[in-house]
Order: sequence, then structure tokens, then C-alpha cells
Amino acid sequence: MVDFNSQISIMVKSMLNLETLWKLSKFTPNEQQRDAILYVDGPLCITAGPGSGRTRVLLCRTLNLIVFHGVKPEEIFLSTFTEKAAHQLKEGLRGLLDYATNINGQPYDLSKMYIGTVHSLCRRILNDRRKFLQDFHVSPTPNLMDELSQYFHVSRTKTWRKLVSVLNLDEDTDPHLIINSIFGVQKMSKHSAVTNCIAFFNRCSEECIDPLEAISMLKASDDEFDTYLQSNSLEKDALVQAFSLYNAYRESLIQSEKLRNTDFSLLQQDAYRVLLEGEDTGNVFKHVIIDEYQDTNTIQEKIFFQLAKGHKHICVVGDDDQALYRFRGATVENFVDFPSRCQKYLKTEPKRISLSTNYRSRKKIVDFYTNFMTYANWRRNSGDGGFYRFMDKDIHANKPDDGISIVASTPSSPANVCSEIAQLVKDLIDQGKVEDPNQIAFLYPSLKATHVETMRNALERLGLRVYAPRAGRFLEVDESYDVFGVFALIFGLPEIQGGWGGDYGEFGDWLRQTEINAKQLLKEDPALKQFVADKRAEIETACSDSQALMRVADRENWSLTEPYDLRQMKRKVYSAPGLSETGRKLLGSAYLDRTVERRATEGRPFPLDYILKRVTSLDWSVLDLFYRLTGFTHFKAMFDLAQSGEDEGPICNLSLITQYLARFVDEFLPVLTADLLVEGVFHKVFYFSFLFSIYRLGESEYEDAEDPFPKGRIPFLTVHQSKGLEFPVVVLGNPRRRLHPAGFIEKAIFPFCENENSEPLSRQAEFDSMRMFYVALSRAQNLMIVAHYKGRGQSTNEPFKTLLDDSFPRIPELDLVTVPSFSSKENDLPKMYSYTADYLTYKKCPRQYMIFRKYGFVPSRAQTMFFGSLIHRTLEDLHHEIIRRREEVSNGS
Amino acid sequence: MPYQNEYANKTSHVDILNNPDIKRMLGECAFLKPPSDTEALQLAGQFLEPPKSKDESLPEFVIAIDGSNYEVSIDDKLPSTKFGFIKVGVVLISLKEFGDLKVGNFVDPFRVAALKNKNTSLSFFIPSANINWKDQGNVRDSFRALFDKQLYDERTRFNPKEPATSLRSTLFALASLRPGELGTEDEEKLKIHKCPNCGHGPITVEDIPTQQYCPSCHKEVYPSDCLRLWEEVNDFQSNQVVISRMMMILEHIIPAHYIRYFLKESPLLLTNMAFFVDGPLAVFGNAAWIHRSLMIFLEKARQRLARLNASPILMIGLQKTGQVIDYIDHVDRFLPNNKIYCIDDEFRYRFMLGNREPSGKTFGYETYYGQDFIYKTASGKTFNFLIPYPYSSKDLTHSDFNFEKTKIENYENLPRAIALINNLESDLYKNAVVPIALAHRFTAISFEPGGRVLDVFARQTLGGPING
Repeated sequence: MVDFNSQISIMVKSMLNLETLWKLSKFTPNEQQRDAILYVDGPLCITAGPGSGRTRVLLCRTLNLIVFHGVKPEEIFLSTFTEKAAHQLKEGLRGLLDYATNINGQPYDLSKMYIGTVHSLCRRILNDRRKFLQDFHVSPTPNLMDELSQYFHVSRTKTWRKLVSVLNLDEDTDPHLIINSIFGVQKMSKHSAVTNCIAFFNRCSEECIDPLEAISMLKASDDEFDTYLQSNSLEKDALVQAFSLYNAYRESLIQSEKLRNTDFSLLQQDAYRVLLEGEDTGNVFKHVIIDEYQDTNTIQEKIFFQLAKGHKHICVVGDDDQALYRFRGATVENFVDFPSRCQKYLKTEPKRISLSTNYRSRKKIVDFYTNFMTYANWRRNSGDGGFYRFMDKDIHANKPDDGISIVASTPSSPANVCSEIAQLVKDLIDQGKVEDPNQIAFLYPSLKATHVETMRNALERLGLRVYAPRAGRFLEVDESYDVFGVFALIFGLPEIQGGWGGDYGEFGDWLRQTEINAKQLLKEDPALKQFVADKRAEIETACSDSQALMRVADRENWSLTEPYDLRQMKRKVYSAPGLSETGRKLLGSAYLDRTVERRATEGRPFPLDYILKRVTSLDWSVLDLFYRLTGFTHFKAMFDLAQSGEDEGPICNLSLITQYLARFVDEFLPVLTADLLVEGVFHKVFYFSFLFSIYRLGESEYEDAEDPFPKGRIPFLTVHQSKGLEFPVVVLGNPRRRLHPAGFIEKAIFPFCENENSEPLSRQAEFDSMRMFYVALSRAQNLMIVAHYKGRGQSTNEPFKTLLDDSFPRIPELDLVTVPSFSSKENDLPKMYSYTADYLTYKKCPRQYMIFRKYGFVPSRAQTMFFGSLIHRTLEDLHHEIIRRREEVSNGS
Repeated sequence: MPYQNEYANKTSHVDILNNPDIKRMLGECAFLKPPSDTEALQLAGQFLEPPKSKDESLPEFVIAIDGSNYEVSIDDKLPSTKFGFIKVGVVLISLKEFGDLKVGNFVDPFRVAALKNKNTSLSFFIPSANINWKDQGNVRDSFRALFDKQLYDERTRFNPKEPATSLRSTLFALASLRPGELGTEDEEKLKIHKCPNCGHGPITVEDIPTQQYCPSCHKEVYPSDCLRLWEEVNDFQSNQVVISRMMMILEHIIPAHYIRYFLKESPLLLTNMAFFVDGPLAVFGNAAWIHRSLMIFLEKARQRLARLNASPILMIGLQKTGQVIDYIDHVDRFLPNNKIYCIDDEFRYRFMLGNREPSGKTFGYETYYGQDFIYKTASGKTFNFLIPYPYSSKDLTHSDFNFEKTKIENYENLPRAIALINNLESDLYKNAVVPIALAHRFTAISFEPGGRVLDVFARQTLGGPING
């Protein structure tokens, strides 16, 4: 048998090649795809049109590097735009590498590979600072705040006061009004002031603007600078104030020498700083690959080129026509000017490959959106010439059919257009052209336009249900009314001085409505009614106990901070008049006595305050309360509905509620103590700091990373939400977008940006509009429907105005027989299941698997989290200590 | 039986010829007759176009397995004291290299010789009549001990240091899959149906190096006892039947041994190779149960490869002799070129087996794990080959196995098998394919000189006289 072993390596060598792996993964690359996969030496710029197989190419290229070029996974830096894309790439790569392993028997470990969103990778760079800096005394990683946490942080009274203080305002001035006016908004709303500030701070961070330097520049500005300010209606003082606020914000993030917060934008600066501090950080990764490069910003570009400095293997993939995120700081010029940037940073020219074959859409759709983009003038005005776009992409459809695949409605009023489209959609569903209504997407520039409501009504009149994430506030979905309504009945609504006016007006209406809805639920379900009564009684008991105990403390002149003296105090508090049986039981507990004595012996006695809170705290959090509610008929029915596959909408929204409640438990009040309820702290924090923030931020409905749209409902999406997705049928619900001139933030930061050759402020709105419609039009696979409104007050953007002429095919001309029926293919990329998180969980309880794993409910886990983070922190400290000692020993020797 | 130097009477047969009873009884016998032209045409009419598939790519490597055996007497004066030798050869052919050797259907024999370093073989030594090995007391126990030892030997391992890669471990893997009570579903355990000494059973033994004993009589038991070859071992007469059975079993376990190893180390390599086995995909005799394990084993392998989007293992059993070949010889001139026929039970029982009544649920119910095909190539050579049934059991729940097994479309690998046979057909021997021919040439122990050399070797080793 042994004799054959020598032959096995020959067999492996003979079989292990890219062609075999392509064949096994059922992929037949075209010429350009092949070129992109095989080119691994030097910088590479891949322009990837819609549906051109970009993900496949990225996967195979990475596979090629790992399996055939001996690049270790940890030597690759692969950045994607979303976590979902990163997850897909990682799982896809794992699947492909599995094929290789099944040929050569060699395992590949992806756990050390840098693959994820820029933000997650920046975070990893910070965590791995020892790797980059070769320094074993690094301080702890800053605590990352997500967007909601950032909002909570800025709006928190302490921070907000700090920010306002730098403006040196008179006491009688309304700071909210002043701050809003800096950003050109005349409002007194704090929420508005906070969101304006955050938007400005983030843009400054992304453009690497140093606030103090900016202020110095403003103060020393020359004529040219002043002319810029004047021509853009900017006031120097306002800019100084804005940058001062930014500086104060950055300072507010530092909690102590070792403890620091950071946000998503500053995180990148932190990571970049680490890369600059290290000696050889340009050689850590042999290959730097960036997907969706058109949506990167200045700081990200700096990071990528710094990482690629050593080996110069940087591969960027993107589509300048799909650049959508200028409002988040993305600069499409990073991509369009990539060749010159390569020259600047790496002193070398990149190879350019265009993936131009569209495998997604039928021919007429591709022809339409390709033609669409030619209607703008992309030529640069500068002396060097050139374009603000890659002009030579030659996008063409792979599908040869020449049938009608794009139609417009008969030009008419919104009511008529919506009725015509709704009927067509119903016909498509009835005739089985799609498998589920969720395969027909309605795309809008904004979901707040009146057309959206008209269309929704037209569809609902025909019995079709709509799912509109972000169309309204998440809190306005039925499930939110139900859950928070029951909460309102249990905890009671807050009282507000001067009534629910101003900023709180709508929110107050919403709260009252939740209460009305919940009362109706209680009428229908006596068990739920009893439950609410029991919970109220629990709260009342805890509150009355708290008050009774406080009275004793007052009577005895005890300070709440003094140690709880078992001999002196126990008897008195135990016999407090009005103390409930439960309160007595808790105070009289032998376990509590033992713990108190132990702590006293150790010299760390419990303060009286702690004991009083402990015995009057509720033994459930708001998240626990939520899960108790799910046992009642009304809520249980939502789970049954999802299990039967009929409608996943309600359960998805319930899942999102758990995610928010978990945030409340983690960031605000993990334990509900009676004093918080008595003093109204709970109401203030829960309703105003927390719920009101979510309400005003318009936090969106549930979105599942893998299966974003619940079955049985037609998704209504913004074009931005639809990016990266495809649908058999797409309706462009509104071919109009108002071209807003550049706002304060863009104008304010423009002179401080390093971006060369950037698109002029005056043309950005037009370019952005073209790109947005390009994305919308390129989502359709089989049929694209464009709503064509006509009449008073109705208009469409160019080039629709020209393109939707009399000869353009209209809905009545469409023969549905010619529309192919869509059947979803099994996802080509294999999905990996975890043995513990999937298999064992499912085996233990399929229902739990459905709830926690499939729909992402957050379990009630306050204690687990606490101990988890405690252990994590302890281990990290130990790790630091061991490394420090080891180094001391090695230095000593 | 005559005495030595006694000669037979030259007229003794006359009595038989004149016996009317014998004449009458002969006339009453039904026997297989050469097929008529009508019958041959009927068969020809059932031949179909060979199936096409998207993937007819040939595997790059072929592994051919063929065995040979020889029984030798240690002394001409002691003809009833015998040893047996078995050699199972495995030949690995790279089709790329082979393509260079081919000129039409002829192969350059000198250059084929260069391939010899890709051969490997396993030789087994078997005590036959009147031989006692290491004081085992009798031939049967000597046979059992020695057979087991050789299955576990380092020579049978893919990695000499890893006993789990031995041929005996593959036997464990197969036996554990055995349906019913005698299966263990644990690759490291198998059940012996009864103790060869006391009849107690079943006995579970483990895949461990140490000697195991019957819990009842405390005498030695060996994992290979599960093959039940010992039941046919004779102490005082030739054991040629047992030796042949043992060889046949090895010819079927060894491909599984390779497949099991590749499945563990590099499963996808299996899609790039084909296994040629000499003879039908069937196991006969007391060890026939193993054909069921092989069916399960191959189905599991197919599922594993399917999960990797890979085609099933291509295994081909090639018949050189037997009833089907005899039948083909008679009808060959009627058969159309480049057509295939999947032999069904009705035709087989009616024409090839002389109207014999079907003996069980399906032909070969207790023995076969592959389906017979007759294929006549475009160049006019006719092959009888088998490929494994695409099921793990013949007792299908929702369909009729008899019917399903004859549906050509159920054999995913059939187009590749045909393409491979076309590629490998050889003019070297009648209706031969090169790998089997090479394997046979590499393995075959011819009477002269191979057999004679083994005679001398055996006698020298035992210190007996060298005759002839």
C-alpha cells in the first residue's frame, strides 16, 4: 500500500488547479473574470458592473492566493462594505477552500484572516496592536460606540453641557437654537442639535480634520479662503464654533487615562495612527483587497495604502456608477482616481480590468441603464481633462433575449399610476411570475414621499401586504404599540411639565396611543389583564417598601452611605411600619446576614443604601418582562404565524424590540430598583433618554442579514437599502429626486479636505442622483417597471424625462407570457452551520433555535453579560501582565 | 480409483452406451441451447444509445485490481500437504501517460513496462492441507491466525505507523456497516456471528492489536473470522476453494481500502480516478454478506462526494468469463455497434440462464452490488461490465429495485464508464481493457515458470526435497 503514497502527490498536483475548483463550485469565469482572478502581482483596479460576478471573482482570487500562491490567510486583508458581505465572502471562501482540502488533505485556517468591514478591521488592528507595534505595553482598546450609543453619549446631559460650554453662551440663550443655527437650521429641538453635531463630527473624523488646526486656519485665513466662505454663504464664526464643538466632543470621549470611548469614524483614525506608529506595518499583509471601493472615504484610503505600502499588492473592486454614500463621507474619487493615487502612494501603475458582462438582468434593462448614464456630462472642467467616471466599461447583458423587460406606467396622476402598477403586480403574483410577493421590490429615493403612501394603499386595496422598513419609525409598527403599550400600563406613563408639546408632541401622541392599544388587548385577554395587575402590584409593593425603609432611615438619622450595621439596624428596618411580607423576608434572609457579615469582616461593608435597594429591587428587567409577555395569546400568535411560514413580519419586529430592550438593560438600567421608580428616574431614562431617542432617530424595522424580507409581503425600500440586492421584479416608484445643493457640512469641510480632483460641490447633487437611479434600475432581473407620473405638481428627473418618451413601452403593451417565471436557485455559496450554535441548539429545542438563532432575539442575559465581560477583562489583564513579566525576564537575561 | 500402474479397461464405456435408461434420462434433460437468430435479434433490439451527460470528462488515473492464486504441495511424495499463495496486484495508470503510449488500440509494451513502478501488490501465504502454523493444532486455526495477521500487517497499511490504515481496519469499517443485528455502526467494532470453537455468538471484537478471546470458551477469536472462510477449511485435502474465495474477497475489499483512505485524506481525488475490478461486482460464498456493506459504503461515499458537488466514484467490474460472456459469444454478430444494454432479470433468466426460475427477489440478491451491462463499442468490441448500484440497499421502500436497477438514467456515472472503456479498449486480448490486462499481467502466477518457482521456494523454505 505504501508504494502508492508517492503517487498521491502526483494525483494531487494533477487535480488541484483552479479549473477543477471552478468546476466543483459550478463557476465558469469569463475572460475578464479569469484575468482578474489570475492577476496577483501588483496593484489592480477592477471595475465591476452590476451583476457581473464580483463576489465570485473576489472569492476565487483570494482562493488563488491562498492555495496556489502560498499566501497565508492571515497575510490577506479583505475589506467589504457590510458585515453581510464579509460573512458571505468568508463562508464562500471556506467552502472553496474545503474543496482544496478535500483534494490535497491540507486544512486552511481562516480564523486569523483579516476579513470584514473597514470598521471591524480597524477595531481588530487596535486589538492586535501588539502585532503592528511590537509593543507589549499598549493601553486597553477604546470602547466602541455604535451610532445609537454615540447619540446617547452626545445627548447625555453631562456631555451636552460640556459641548455647550465651549460656545460661551449667555445663560438666557437657548443653546439648542444656537447650535442648530450653526448648521443652518432654525430649530429649538435638542434632538436636531444633537444629530446635526454628530453628522458634522463624523464627517470631520472621516476627512481626518484636526479641529484645532482647522480653527487656526480659519483665524489666519487669507482672501481666497474668505472668498470661498462668502461664495458659499458660510460664516467664519459659525465654522469656528462647529470645530470647537467637534474638539469638545473628542475630549468628551476620554474618560480617564486608560479608558476611552470612540465612535465608528474616529475608530479609523485610531487604527491609522497605530499603522503610522509601527515600523513595518506596510509589510504585515501581502495582499490588501477592498470591495466596494467607490464607497470608501479619505481616512480609509490612507489606511489601505499604508497597509499595502510594503508589498504593493492592493486590489480594489467597485463600480463608480453605484457610489451612493457621499452623505456618509464616501468619496468616489478614491476609485476613479485610483491609478493616480497608486502613483502617489506606491509609485506604480495599477492594472485595470473591467467586469462588464451582466448576468443578472435581461438585455433591455441593461441597455436602458447603460444608456441612462450617458445623459450626464461627466467631463472634468479642470485643465487635465478626463472624466469623473470610468467611461470605457462596455456593460452588456449576458442574456440574449430581446423581449420587453422594462416598461413604464401609462403617464397619469399618482392615483392612476399606482392603481395600474398595483394591478400589474397582482397579475405577476397570480400568474406565478414570482414565487413570493417579497420578490417584487418597490424602490424609492425616499420613503417619506406621498407617492409611497398612495402606492401602498393601491396595493392594499388589492389584498397585497407591504413591508416597508424605514418607511416610518420602527416604533410605529403594530408590535411596538402592543409591547410598549403593555409596558405603559405596567409602569405608567411619565408626566411632563407643560404638557407634551414641542419636541415631544408626536412622541406623546405615540405613547398615549400605545396605552389605548394595550387596554384593548387587556380587554380581549383576561390572563394578560391579570398579569399586568400582578406586575403593577409588585411595583407598588417595592415602591411602598422603599418609602417605608427610607422613613426609618430618616427617623434614625442614618446616612445612606454609612455601613449597614447588622446589630444596630436590622431590627429597626425589619420592623419598619408598612413593610411588606416580601420585604421582611428579604431583609430577614440568613444568606443576606452572612454576606453582610463576611463583607464587614473583610473591611468592605455594604452601605445602607445598597441594602435598601437590594431588598426593594424587582427581580426582573424590562427584557424579562418582554419574554413574559410572549406567553400570552396575542404575542404567541406572532410566533405561530412565523413558524407556519405565513408571515414573518411580526416576529421580526419583536426580535428588534428585544435588541433595543437589551441595549436599555446594558447601557442604562440593568436592575430595576424601587428608588428609581419612586423618584421617576426610570420613567425619565426609559421614556426620554431611551425611547424618545429611538423614536426621533427613526430607528428602522427589522432587517435580517441573510433573508432581508419577510415572506408574504412586498418590500418597499429606499434605493440605498436595495444596494447589493437583486429582485426578479423591481418597481421604481418615483423617478424623481430633488437636487439639493450642497449642505452646510459639505461646504464647511470642503476647504479642509485633502481630496484632490474632487467633484465640484455644484455638480455633486446631479451626479449623486444619476448614480442613485442607476442602482435602482440595475436591481431588476426579469422585469423593471417605472412609475411615470404626469399632471399638476408631478415631474420626473432628467434623463427620465427624455427617455420615457412616446415610443417607450408601457404597461398595457406588456404581454405577461413573455415575462419569465422566476425560480430561486439554491444559494451557490455554501452556508456553514456551527455544531454548537446551530446543531446542538436546534437539537435541544427547535423553537428556541427559531427564536434566538433564526430571528435573532436577544436572550435576557444581564447576569451572563456581566460575568462574561468581567471574565474577559480579567483574562485580558492577566494576558498583559504575563507578557510584561515575560519581557522583563527576557530583558533581564 | 485405480492402483498405481493399473490401467483402465478399454471397453468399459460400452455398457453405458447401451443402457436404455441413461439414453432416456438424457432425453428428458432441459439444457441451455445456443440462442437462435430470433432471440439474438430480440436482444439486439433492446440495445440503446449510450447515455450522454454534461460531464464525460475522463478520470486521470485508473486503479486496476486483479488477483491470482496458486496452491503448492511441499513434496511430490506428500501431495496432500499443501500451501497456498495469493497475490493481489494493484496497478495505477495515469491516463495522460497512457495516452502517449497508445497507437490506435495498440499499446507499446516496452513503454508500458516503464509504468511498472506504479504497481503494488499484496501477497498472502495460506496454510492448506496438513499444515500447522505456530502450534495452532490444525489447519483451520492456522489459516485463521495467519489470515488475520496478514490483514493487519504493516504491508497492508497506508501508513505503517497507523494501524487504523490497515486492511483489517477496512474490514472493520465494512463489517460495522452490515445491516441488521450483526452491524455495529462503530468503525472500530465488528461482530463475528459465532465462535469457530464453541459456536457462541455473536461476539463483538475490537480493532486493537492484542489477541481477543471468545467470552464463552476463552479460545482465540480473530476479527477476520467474520468472513467465515474458516468454515470451509479442510484439514487433510486441498483448500483451493477457500484460497479462491479469499482471493475474491481481497479483490473487493482492496478497492474499498483505497476508497476509504482517500475519503479520509483527499476525497476529491476519488473523482479523478476509476477503479477496475476483475470480474463481477459480487461476493460469493459465506462472505457474501459483505456485498451489502459495500453497497452502503459506496452510497455513503457518493453522498459525501455529492456534498462537494463531485461525481460518484467510478468503479467498474469487468467480466472476462461467465454466462453472460458465453451468451455474448453466440449473439455478438447481431449486436449493434456503439449501443448498450442493461441486463434485466427477465432476459437473464429466460435466455441466459435457460428459463431458470428466479431464485430470489432479484438476480444476485445475496451477492451482487453492481449492475451488469453489455456494451458494444463503436469499433465492434463487446464488453460485459458492471457498475455499482446507486442504492445502499436492494430493499427500496418506495420503488421496485428490480425495475429501478435496469433504468440506465439511474447510473450517473455510466457515461463516464463508457467513455473510459472506449478509451481503454485494447487489442491485446479479446475484449480487454488495458488496465485489467496490465494488472493481470503483473499479478498472474502462470504455471510455468511462476508456479514452479513457488514450488521450489516453498520446498526450500520448509527444507523439503526439490523435485523437478
